[in-house]
Amino acid sequence: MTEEAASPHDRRLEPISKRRLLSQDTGLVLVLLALAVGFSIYSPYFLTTANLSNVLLSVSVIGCMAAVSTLLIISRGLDLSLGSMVALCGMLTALTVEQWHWPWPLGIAVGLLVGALCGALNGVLIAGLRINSIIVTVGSLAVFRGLAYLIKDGQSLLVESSAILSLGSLRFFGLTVSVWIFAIVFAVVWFFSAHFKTGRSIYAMGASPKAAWISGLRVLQLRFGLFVASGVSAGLAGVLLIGQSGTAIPGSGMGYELMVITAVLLGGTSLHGGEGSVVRTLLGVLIIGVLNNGMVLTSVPSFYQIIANGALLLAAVVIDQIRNGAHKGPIES
Amino acid sequence: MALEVIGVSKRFSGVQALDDVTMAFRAGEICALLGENGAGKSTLIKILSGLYTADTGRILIDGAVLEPSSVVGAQTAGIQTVHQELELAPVLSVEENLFMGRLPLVAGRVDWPRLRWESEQALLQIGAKFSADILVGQLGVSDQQLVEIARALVRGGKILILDEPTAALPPAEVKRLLDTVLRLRNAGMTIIYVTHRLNEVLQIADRAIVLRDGRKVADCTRDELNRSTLVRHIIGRDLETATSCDSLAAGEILLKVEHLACDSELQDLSFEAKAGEVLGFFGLLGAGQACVAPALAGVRHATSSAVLMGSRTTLPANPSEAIDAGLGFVPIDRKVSGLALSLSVMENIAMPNWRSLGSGSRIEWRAVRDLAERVIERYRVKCSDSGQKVAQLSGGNQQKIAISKWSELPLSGLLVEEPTRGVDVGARPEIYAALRQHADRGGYCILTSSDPGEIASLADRVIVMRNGRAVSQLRRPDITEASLMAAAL
Repeated sequence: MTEEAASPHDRRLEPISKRRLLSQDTGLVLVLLALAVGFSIYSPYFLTTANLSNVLLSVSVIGCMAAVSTLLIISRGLDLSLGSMVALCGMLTALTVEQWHWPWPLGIAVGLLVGALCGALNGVLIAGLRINSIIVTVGSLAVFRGLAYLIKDGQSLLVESSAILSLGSLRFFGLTVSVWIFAIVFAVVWFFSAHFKTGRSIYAMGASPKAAWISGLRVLQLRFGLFVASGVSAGLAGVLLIGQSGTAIPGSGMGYELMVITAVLLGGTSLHGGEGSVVRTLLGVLIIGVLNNGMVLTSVPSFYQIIANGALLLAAVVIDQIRNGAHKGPIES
Repeated sequence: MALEVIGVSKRFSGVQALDDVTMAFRAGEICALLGENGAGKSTLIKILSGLYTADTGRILIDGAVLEPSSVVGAQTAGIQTVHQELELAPVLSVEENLFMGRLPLVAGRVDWPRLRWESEQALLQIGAKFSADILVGQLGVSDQQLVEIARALVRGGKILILDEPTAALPPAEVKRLLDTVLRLRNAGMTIIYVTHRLNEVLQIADRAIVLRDGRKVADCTRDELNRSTLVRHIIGRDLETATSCDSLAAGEILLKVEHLACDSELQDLSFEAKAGEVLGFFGLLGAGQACVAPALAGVRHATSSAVLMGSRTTLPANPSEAIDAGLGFVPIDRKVSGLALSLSVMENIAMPNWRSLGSGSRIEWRAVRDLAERVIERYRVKCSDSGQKVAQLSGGNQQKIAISKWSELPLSGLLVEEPTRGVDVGARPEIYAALRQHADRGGYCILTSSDPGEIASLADRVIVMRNGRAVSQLRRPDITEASLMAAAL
């Protein structure tokens, strides 16, 4: 393919960042391998096909969101309401399918649509009124969580639809449907980011929102669209989650946003905007998956697991800050 | 010697920014520090003000070694630096900014009357017109610059480093600043004056040190100072004669604006621009010329009774509409609004061109790279390749990209603010040529500047502004620095 020669991965096009990418990729792969080797020494169950496919299944939920959040963070946005949207969308899909007996495709569509609406609410406040995305999504996080509890007065909903349950159990070529969906989402988002004009515009607006605006890019529309996409990804994650667990729980998904942000930052996407890659986020997602799975297998107490996940996020932020030289910069960025 | 720099070298990943530099500064002298961007001036200043530590060499103040190295240490030792980037708290008052970290106290509480009185003295000393209790954020950029200088005065110190202090100042205040600098010199202060403006050097400097490629290449005393010698030292060759060739006879009217008004700064302005001309807007600070380009580009909200702009008859509401109407904008703050510094040359050039590159929503990378390389070649942008980050280029090459990224669009007008601000002497003719090239292809350039030299060397016609209105119009060959100043004052 002739275009391949001049894609953004062409060495001539991005020689400096490319060189850094390589070393960064190697670093991530090494971390992943080290974790895998470590856990397989401590637990005989780690390196089994069943367990590895389990790891993939367990990260498929946050993975779908991490793919979209990579673009969001590249554009200098942050969505902290992901976990609440997961619960809300999962509850509504379960409600429509199990209680109202709607056909399952319609129920899934409701989940995705509600995700889009939640994202649109975030987007209107952030792009329309220019409010900081962290503040907006901290607020909407509570609103969405409250709504999720309201649906069944705090009760969970049992999922019995075989179609939805098959998301977490039906296998093709050894991998569950959830994992395939996760892979497709990643492929689509990556392809979009690397080969579509809108994708590159997201990098431009992240690198310099004002320069992008003056160059005629529709920065506000893009920002709005990204939050809608983030909501849809959370809706999808909510559907996958109820399919995997067989229950829609209004309190589910708590802390998922932190795992998503950790995965994205581990993958080298910068909080400073304009820089990052969807492919490397995948490595970040896998590291989180392997770490959590390994900690369960080696029976690390769950409180320590929480600490480990938080420490990983902090480590990712520290690395980002140092890599950008921002730790030596002015007092605040 | 008040300040001695002995054998100082500094290296950044692969680049020798300073190479064994030795120089000395006396008390009571103004020493100009000259050199192209990238010559090592900024690095030297940052070492002197404690931001960087030299790899080798020593710095002596009154014979005592300045230990490496902290900002506070340098300040305590008597070195005060006024950087190009303003370091003010916009939500605090002028007086609080002036005495930041050293507010006068009485019985443990802030002595507000004394703060006010001392601040007003300092402002009086530099000839500022605003009061001490106004918030810094309410001041324009050039008044903020004055606050910075006043703060350096307030903090005392024996050695004052001014890094391009006049870059943001209109001519009237340049004069006042130069007077202040002379007064400080006469009071026995050592002034290190960094600038690109040779006129100012010739007016006030007692000595000039020229850096090139990290080395000291000249140390001229007052008697040796003249423009051509300095230029030769700075760029390492003789300056080609200016490229102000005769332009095409101005053609049809491409832009017409009537009764343009913007906030209170621009009251009422009507004008037209013709194909093939470079139209300049010149005025002192607050005269309103700074609103013209942002208003036409859809960046600032403005009103007009009648507009003719391509197919539009109203002012554009945002940059995207302006581009559709055939107007590109090169803003004054190149590093924030003109370019995305962390992206590559190629992606910056592609930014306004995404819509016209290829037909669908997919990117044709080959077309993008071809476009970038075409532009790089035509405008002689010096970069290692189109994938290099824009942040790594010199100011002149950055500005070439900010201008040339528009060149592949079918634009009729180019709105350019202060095109050679922060651009070294050697690269200026090429920036001028780039703008002239646009006009010669049948478009027009609108150029707003507070630097009369820049306007005089480039514009075919100049509208001079005062108090938000046009006060006179000059055409070639009547456009000179003197005639511009006479009209603006």
